[in-house]
Amino acid sequence: MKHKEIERLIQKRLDRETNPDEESRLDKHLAQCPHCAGQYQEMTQIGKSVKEITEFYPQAGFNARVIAKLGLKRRFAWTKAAIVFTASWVAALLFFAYSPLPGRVLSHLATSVPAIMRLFDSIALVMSSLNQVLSPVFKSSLSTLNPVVGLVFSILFVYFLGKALQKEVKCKA
Amino acid sequence: MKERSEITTLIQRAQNHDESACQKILNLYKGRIFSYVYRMVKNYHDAEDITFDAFIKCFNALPSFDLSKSFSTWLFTITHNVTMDYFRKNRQEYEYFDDRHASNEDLMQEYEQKRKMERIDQALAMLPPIDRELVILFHKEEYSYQEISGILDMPVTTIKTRLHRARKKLRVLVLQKPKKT
Repeated sequence: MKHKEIERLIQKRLDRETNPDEESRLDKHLAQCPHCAGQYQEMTQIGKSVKEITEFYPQAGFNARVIAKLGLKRRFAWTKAAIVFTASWVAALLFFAYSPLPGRVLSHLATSVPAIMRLFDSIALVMSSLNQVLSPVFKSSLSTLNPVVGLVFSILFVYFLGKALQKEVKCKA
Repeated sequence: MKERSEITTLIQRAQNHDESACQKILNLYKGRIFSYVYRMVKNYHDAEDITFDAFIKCFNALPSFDLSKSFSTWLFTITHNVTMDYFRKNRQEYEYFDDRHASNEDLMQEYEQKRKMERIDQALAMLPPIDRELVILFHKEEYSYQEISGILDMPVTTIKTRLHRARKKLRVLVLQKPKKT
């Protein structure tokens, strides 16, 4: 087989396009021709070397520049925030309902600082008035509904505030 | 390399302007794109500008990207086009750079001056940009002839002929021993 033909087959193998017949012809020739075998080695080595050439990177801050140009800003996970807020709310509620500590601290404060006592009295007065007005509507005592209403209101508040703020973020990618 | 489904998910998130998805896409591809551009234009700052423009174009066009197609091929097509704009703007020859501006002797002198670089990198740098691009896309990025044809908007037969010629040139350049200074 002529060297020219072998050179063509070498290129074809590097192109990953040889058929089984060409493969065997090429291998047979390479086994008995040191000149073509050497050339084949060099060519395949070049292909491998190109595959392994160093990868370069742009300077630090490249991502930030692209993101800034696109006008993208990091989004706050408002749904997650609402879940965390709910969990914190329930934990706080349980703590105040079942732990003796808050009661002790509050009673200590109320006795030592008269202003706090007056504040509690005012709050109690407002709550009792509200209870009288709203309890027929909810058919239940307002003090029972307080935590639930407060919780639902707070979750909705956090969620919709988040959504509203998110709309403000400019996204023009 | 990430799985295709993961890339697709990332692209879908980026299409919805998810900043962290854009960051991940940048981290996945910026090395490959920058290296490709840097080897084409041989100037760090220009390469960074071109890479920047390519990613901006990519993200701006992302909502219209067809998810059934290869993202990296699409990104390389955009990058190739931005690089061609650079060559046009800077009045640099893309196809015939070596034939017109440098003799083999000049090439070898330049080759020797850049001895600090790896030999293969030096040899690659001596090739005309189009041949360099073909060698990188085929051997480094492992794209098929069909994919390269799509990226460069060039017939497969032309690509094959040029790549064969480029390999031969590379072999000659790599085998040439650098002179000692």
